[in-house]
Amino acid sequence: MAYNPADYEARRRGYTQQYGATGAMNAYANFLARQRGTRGRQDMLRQYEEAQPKVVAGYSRRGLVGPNVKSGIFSRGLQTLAKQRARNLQDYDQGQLEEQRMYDLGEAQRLEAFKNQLADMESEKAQTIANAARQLYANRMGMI
Amino acid sequence: MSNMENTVEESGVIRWDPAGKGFNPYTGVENDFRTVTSQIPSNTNTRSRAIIAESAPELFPAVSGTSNQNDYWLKLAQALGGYGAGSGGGHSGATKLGYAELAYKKAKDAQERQDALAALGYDRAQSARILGGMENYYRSGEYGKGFDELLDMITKQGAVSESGVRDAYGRAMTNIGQGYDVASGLGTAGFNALNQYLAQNQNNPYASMQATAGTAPDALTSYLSAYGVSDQPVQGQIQADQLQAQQGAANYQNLIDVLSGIAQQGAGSRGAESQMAQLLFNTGLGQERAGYQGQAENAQAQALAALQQQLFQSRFGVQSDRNSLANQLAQQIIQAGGNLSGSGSGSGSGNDNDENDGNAVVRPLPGQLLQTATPQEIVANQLANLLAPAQAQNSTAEQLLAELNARRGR
Repeated sequence: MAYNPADYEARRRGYTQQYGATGAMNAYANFLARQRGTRGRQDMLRQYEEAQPKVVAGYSRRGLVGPNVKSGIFSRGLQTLAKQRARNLQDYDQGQLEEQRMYDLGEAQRLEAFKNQLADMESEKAQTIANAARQLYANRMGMI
Repeated sequence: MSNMENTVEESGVIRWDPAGKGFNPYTGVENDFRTVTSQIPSNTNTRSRAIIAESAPELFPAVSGTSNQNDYWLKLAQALGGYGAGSGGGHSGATKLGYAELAYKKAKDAQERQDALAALGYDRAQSARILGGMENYYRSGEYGKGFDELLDMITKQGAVSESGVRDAYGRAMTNIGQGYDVASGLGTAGFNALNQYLAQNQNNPYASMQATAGTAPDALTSYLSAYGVSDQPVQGQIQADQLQAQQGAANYQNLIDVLSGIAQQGAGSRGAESQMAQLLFNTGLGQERAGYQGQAENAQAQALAALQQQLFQSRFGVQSDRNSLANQLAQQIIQAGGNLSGSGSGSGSGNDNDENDGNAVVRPLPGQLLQTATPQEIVANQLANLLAPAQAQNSTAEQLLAELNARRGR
């Protein structure tokens, strides 16, 4: 097979374009996902900030908390609220983190595949050059 | 007595008048020439033989190999001689006429004989010159000059052709070497580019990845402290969740490490593949070069062998022609009575003194041949023996005849 550098450059441009376009699309999707995650976390924090005074007010109306009043029920209720908030934030952040890991892993795999494509192409090109060199040598010897 | 007169017709027939017949006192009978009708021979040799017979009848058989029984001129000369000798001073008119005619014919025949002998001498001299030239041409080896030039041309052409073959082999080897260098350089450049690419593009995207557990959420410590509530239960839960998250991150890191290891193995495999491909390329190219060199060497050997064969054939052909020409010359010289060795007939020469070198040779006597003589040499020797006396005295037939005449007092 004759060696034609243009073929390999065209293939390289194709691989790179495909990798770049897919990567941009994935990056944009990842950006949107992170945006959504940020907004969801902020919503969650806002909801807890809004819920905290209401919880204290409920215990206060029931007389479980107030000046010189501190009941165990209020303390456990408030700690439960804090633990629930911490658990929800943790789960949410873990979800966001795992989603980011999946994205990063996918991008790494995609980059690996892209590099493999280029490396395979380079190996093929080197082999083609070697075969072309032997063919040229044979042709030259045939002319003697 | 008859009235018929003696006449000589144009046809050469001599008619004698019967009156011319006379009594021969020596024979005691009457000569009768009426029946003598002789055809005058027109052949010069015949006339010459007749003259010789008349001059020296006893030598005639030795001079002429032919029988003289039907030689009418001889009979006529003998008859006239007998008649004249016995007639004394009394000649008749017919006898005078006959003598006059005979004298005329003798003079004419003598002139013709002289001319023939002169022509014979000229021919012999010319033949001797030709023979001498042929001998000189043969002995000096001049005849081989053209063949020597041909052999020299063949040798020079052979050298040129051999040089051409070796030059072609040299060019072929140069081209093989240059072609190998170019092909090797091209293939090596391709593999070098591959190796450089692989070195500069390590395909391990997992190497830079680090699995993190993420940040832990706050425990609302300030808020709880404001109400005098402890955050310890919240902190415990957060630490437990964080521990779980760290375990998940560790699992993820293990996954990354596995993938990274696979990627590194792939890169190593690719590098080994490149090296193996390059080694295979170099080995194959070297084998091809060896094959081409072998072909060139074989082609050179075949070309040189064919050239040598052609040169040998050409030399053989030239040498064969030279031998053929030498044999033809030798045969012609031998048949003409010449000498091939240049040492003279039996005289010998210093160059043939074989006794000096220890190789005693039984030499034949002059006029004899070696026992190894060929039939051609035997015939040539016989001819030489016949001509030897005349050649030795440098005499001609005319001189021989004059000598004979002198011996007879004429």
